[in-house]
Amino acid sequence: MNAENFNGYDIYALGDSAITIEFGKNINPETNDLVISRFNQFQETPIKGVIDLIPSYHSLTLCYDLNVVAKQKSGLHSLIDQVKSRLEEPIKLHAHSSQLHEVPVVYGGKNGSDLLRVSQEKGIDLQEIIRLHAEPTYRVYMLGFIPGFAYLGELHAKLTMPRKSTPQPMIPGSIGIAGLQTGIYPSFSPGGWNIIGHTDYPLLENGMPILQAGDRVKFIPLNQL
Amino acid sequence: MSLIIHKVGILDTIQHFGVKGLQSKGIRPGGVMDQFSASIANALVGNKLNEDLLEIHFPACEIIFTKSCLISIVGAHFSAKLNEKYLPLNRPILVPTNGKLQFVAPKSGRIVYLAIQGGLVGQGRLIKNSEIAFKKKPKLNSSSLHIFPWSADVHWQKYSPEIHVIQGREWERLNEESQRQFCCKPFKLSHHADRMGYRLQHQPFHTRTKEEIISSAVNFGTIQLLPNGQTIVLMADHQTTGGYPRIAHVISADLPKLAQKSPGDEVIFHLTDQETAEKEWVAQQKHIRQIQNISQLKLNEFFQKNSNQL
Repeated sequence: MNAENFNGYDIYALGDSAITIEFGKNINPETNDLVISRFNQFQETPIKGVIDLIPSYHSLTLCYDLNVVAKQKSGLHSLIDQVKSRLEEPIKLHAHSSQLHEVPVVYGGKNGSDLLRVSQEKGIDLQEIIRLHAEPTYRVYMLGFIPGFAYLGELHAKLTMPRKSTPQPMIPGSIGIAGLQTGIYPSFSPGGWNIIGHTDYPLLENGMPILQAGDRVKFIPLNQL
Repeated sequence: MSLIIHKVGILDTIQHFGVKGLQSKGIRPGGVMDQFSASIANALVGNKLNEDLLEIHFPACEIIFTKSCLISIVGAHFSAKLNEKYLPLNRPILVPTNGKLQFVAPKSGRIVYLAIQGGLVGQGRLIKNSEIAFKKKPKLNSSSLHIFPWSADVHWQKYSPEIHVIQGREWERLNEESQRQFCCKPFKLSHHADRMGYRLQHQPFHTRTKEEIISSAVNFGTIQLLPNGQTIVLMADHQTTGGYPRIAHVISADLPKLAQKSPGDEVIFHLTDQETAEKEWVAQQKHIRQIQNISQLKLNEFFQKNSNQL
């Protein structure tokens, strides 16, 4: 199925048992607010047959129980109609309480081993990289990849780096940068981001993530290099 | 009162049928790779279809049953043996107390399911050198092996290379030549194949645009195009979101067949539509439920007749 446009949103199928609503074409706080608000709406008043919701930067995916889908008169298409009528209901934008997390960071050293390379490749001295990275208050745009991995944006354009060509082992608390994003690895995992620092800030509690989409993060540098 | 893992396999787990409702936190659903075989295995021993069970790869674990119980083995053919006697697939089997189960040689398929009447404790965990507790204490008592005289029809498992897919959001990014290659050319499964994803071997695909896409949701069966032109099919332990183009999605009804492919096996993708995907799924589910109903009747009848001996 190709995407169909509704109210300025694109709706498309993600395989035979999920549909995605794309609210915009770019990464920005307004589109992400819309995603989080619609996510809250679908979570508070669930649609029958929906078994999971996956919010991202600019889209929201609804995963269906295919048994329920197939029982509808015209399958997934009937469900898309249901979703459309929900999207016509007004919503309060971003009612979510946006928590501020102050995350202490040790930049560079053993657990921030890519800082030096980033500095060399970008031609920016270490102090300035730390200043540029710690300056903004970031938004948690989404959780994904592995449990509790928070995608934070936007990174200062001067710090954009490509992902590494081969993923490397990460330790919990590793702070990485890639493209216009920065993020924190909550657990041991392979990863391709450039690691510039490390934090002991708690990221998981009984396996559940502490950071939530819509929250804000401020990095507090602990060391001067 | 348990199963004792006498020898550990390479990748054996106690599997569930997927965690629901946590993907917004980045927590993947996971669950069985071949839902068809796993459901049939449960049906054969009278369990609910989505009861937790053992998912076994080769080289497989060796198991000692400290208590007589009803089991079934469905999926890959790994030449299962109980106390030196070969066991058939797709049948209820009553194993005697202290029976020792081994899988001695892989013949076909990749994953086999071992269902135990009443289920097991410890879902999602890798099986180590230890004991696995029964969820419910088995009531049966038998000092000898008994193989039941009926078997389940598992024709959906046929190992043909045809896998049906529907187009993904970024399908149009492939150039015409690559689109043609993708449909209908046989590809081999590479050695990079595990519960997270199966990589395919083919000439690199080419795209009309190199434009990056913004990370968003992926699914079990999503076929991603990697930066080097290769493809990967995401399997049960896929991550929740991804930033690679999604060129197609394997239909749910064909995921069990794909899951049973081993490195070197061929797959041929065929494009289909949503309607066909739904029809195939309904037909498969109906087949599973029929087996469940018949199994239940036959088990009841059998245990009524033999209640004195067991």
